[in-house]
Amino acid sequence: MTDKGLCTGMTDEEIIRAHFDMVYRLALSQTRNRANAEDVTQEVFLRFVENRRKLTSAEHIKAWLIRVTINCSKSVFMNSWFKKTVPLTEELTFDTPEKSEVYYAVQTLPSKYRTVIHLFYYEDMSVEEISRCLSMNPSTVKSRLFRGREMLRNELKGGYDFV
Amino acid sequence: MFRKYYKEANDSIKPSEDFVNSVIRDAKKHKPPLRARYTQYAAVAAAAVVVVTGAVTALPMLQKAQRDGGEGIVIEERAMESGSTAAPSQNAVPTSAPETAVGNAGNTAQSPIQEPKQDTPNTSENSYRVPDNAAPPKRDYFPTDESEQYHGSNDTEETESAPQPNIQENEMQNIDEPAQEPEVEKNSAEENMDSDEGGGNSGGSSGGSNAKAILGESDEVIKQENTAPEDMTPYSEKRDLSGISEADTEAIDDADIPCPDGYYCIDASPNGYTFKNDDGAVISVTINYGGADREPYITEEDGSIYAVFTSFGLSVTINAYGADMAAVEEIINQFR
Repeated sequence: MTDKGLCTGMTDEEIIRAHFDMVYRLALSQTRNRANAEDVTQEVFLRFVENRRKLTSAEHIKAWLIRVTINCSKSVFMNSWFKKTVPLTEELTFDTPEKSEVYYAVQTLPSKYRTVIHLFYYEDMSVEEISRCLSMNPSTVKSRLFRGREMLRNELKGGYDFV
Repeated sequence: MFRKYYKEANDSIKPSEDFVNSVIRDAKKHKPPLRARYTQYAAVAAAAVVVVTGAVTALPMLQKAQRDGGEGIVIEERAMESGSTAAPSQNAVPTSAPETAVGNAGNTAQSPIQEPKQDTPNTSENSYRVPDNAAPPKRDYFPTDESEQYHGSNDTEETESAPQPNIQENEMQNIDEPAQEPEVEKNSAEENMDSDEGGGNSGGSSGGSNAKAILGESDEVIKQENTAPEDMTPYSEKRDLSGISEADTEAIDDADIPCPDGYYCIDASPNGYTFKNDDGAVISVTINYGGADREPYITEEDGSIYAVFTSFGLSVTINAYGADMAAVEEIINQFR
């Protein structure tokens, strides 16, 4: 953990702390369950420590963490344990109704739309970055963003602008 | 507006500090990368590679040695030590003719590890030796002593090693080794003669002779037992039978084995014979106790003939120098 990153100049612990919230929130967005999100987060950073030598830059690390988080979140749903159990519904509390309304509206979206919406609106990633990170065509990202917004408009029924 | 509310909502979600620390702690003591874990098996993998490579390298050589009818690697060592130019695994014949008859009678005291070196006919110096690892004189092919013919007739496991048919070899062994193993074996054979085991359990000549000694059965019964399996017994057994049945009436000379036409026996030992003709051709026959039957494998090169085969449990090796193939085949046919 004291090893410095090859190009980042940060220790592994510093890298983990810097990206911890991003990974955890993305995992929570994908799994919609705190316990699963924690499992995913732990798994992601264990993989990060194992593969840290391959990661050459800060951008590379961030893209790699996002990709691995999404993959690990998918593996949770593929787990036979998950298929045989029903997770407890847990309500996240927010200080304003708008936050809660917006957050749970996004949670209702299918996973593939939820991912691009989260990366686009929370991580402030461009379509190109999302397409590179998810290894998909930019036009696919755009179409998913468009359809995700349409679903959110129908869900929110409010005057939110999706700029 | 949506972006603002969504960001604020996510920002309000924070993992607990304990969870962050636990993840960092687990990451610190995580297992090393896979490629690092492979190193602990490197030594085992290298050893396995060495073993497999050695086996693959040695297998064709062993197979070839077995095809040649020798003792495999042991023969090769022998050839290297004796300075022979041709390896036995290549079916080369020795360059010198057999000379002595009772060459290594005293070498029976050698260790078992060294014994196989005396087995092959490829030495240039003692081309005809009594192989030390050859079967002990279990079966009496050429009984020369009446007192030993009885032992030779016993076919039980104990008495198979008892007979000492060759007087010359016995004398030589007595000179070299005062305390000899055959004496003990002879005594054990005599003890077995007095026991009840020797008589009825083994067929053929042994059963008959023991029956005669112990039970005092008539000669007719013995003769029937001796003659009954004659057609189905191998040549070696026939030699036993002939030695027993005729022992009382006539002496058996060294040339007991039928000599090839034009040849005469110049040497006979429990483990082989040497024939020679007037032209100087020499045929050396070495007999060991072999395994499964094997068809004759004959090679001829530069006037020398090398043949090896196994028949009726006898592994026969023939080295002929200046002899014709017909004589060798005649000897082979006598054994098969």
